[in-house]
Amino acid sequence: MAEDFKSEIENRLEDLFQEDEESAESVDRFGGVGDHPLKALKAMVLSVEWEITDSSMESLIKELNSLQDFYGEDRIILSFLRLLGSISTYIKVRKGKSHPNAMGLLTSIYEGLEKVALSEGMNRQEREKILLQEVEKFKKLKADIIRRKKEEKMGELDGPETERAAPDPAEMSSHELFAYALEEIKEVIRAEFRALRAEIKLWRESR
Amino acid sequence: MAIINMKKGEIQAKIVYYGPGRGGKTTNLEYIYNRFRARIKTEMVTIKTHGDRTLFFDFLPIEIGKIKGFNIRIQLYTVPGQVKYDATRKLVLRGVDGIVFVADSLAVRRKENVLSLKNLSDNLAPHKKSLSDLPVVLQYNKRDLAEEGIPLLPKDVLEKDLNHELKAPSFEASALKGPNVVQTMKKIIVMTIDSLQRELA
Repeated sequence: MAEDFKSEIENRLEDLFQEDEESAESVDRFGGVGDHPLKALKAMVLSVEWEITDSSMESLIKELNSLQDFYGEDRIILSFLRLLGSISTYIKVRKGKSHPNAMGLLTSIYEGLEKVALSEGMNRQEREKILLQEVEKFKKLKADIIRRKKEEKMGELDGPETERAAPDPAEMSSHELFAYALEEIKEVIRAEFRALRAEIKLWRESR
Repeated sequence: MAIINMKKGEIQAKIVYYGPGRGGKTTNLEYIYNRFRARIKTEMVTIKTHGDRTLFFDFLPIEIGKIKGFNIRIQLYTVPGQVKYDATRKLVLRGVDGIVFVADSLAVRRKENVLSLKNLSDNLAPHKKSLSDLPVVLQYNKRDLAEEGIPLLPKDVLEKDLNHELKAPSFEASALKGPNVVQTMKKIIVMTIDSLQRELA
């Protein structure tokens, strides 16, 4: 009986989650670059997407510099590489304190670069359009970083917040644990709203 | 704890994806949801922070349908991996019936995997549960990064670090691209329902 039940569940799951190749391909966010000169750069971008360390950031910046020599005569690719260089230097300095969208922008600029560098026959207008989209994103992030810095300075003038010692969840009762988790969530939601308010303000200013 | 209603013929099981931050727990659920949303006919609930991190948990209910008179419902959860959300993790583990431990294959994340597994064990204790008596599946995620030349932990090292005592089924996977994401989920569902059935027998 138990074995019957188990095998029926296995069969049902097999039917429900049968994978077809067509949709599997569409999920692949980063296609292969083969032996293209961008191969090493791609590996580094993927690597820092997961873990930011001094050595990984240094390798990334070094690779960007050597690619700038390689693509010296392609003004559009050179602009992509410079954008990547700026954002990489910022992430290297700020690390975990980087703006939350910085890593996403690094990936987005790289994807734009890959599109431009790998698409044979793409005309100049199309290439410039992709570049301009990334430049806009870069400018927006830069403005947001400057605004945040101002806010941080204002916060410092208001006086530093006192650090609360985190209680040990193992010593908490059920309702205390729930209340503590709720406080954690509230604090992050407050931070989210602060960031959203700042973004709306920035959006209004840019109109 | 599973909800088993013999009168209504319903079994509802809770499976939690646990593991270090940035390891790919949410990506596992997103992959399943994006690929099969038309078939599972449910909505994924996810609450993320401004920096795209899991705030509270992700929740993906799956209707398996009727099997031998029982309507089977599976609830997949993730926990926030960041160290500071320990209270939330403990809360999400309440009533857990099965666990997928999503380990990060990156060589630089070796210590975080071990600490997260220890944290899981510690957080199960207040619920009077342990890893040895729960269905557990290990997933070694991000294997696709090997193709990009990124240093990864070999499978035998991951097995030694995390599965030496557990001896749980394990899968090398890529939550981003898909290999073994579904296999991991199928395995834990079958193990969990099987375990619940044995408890009932």
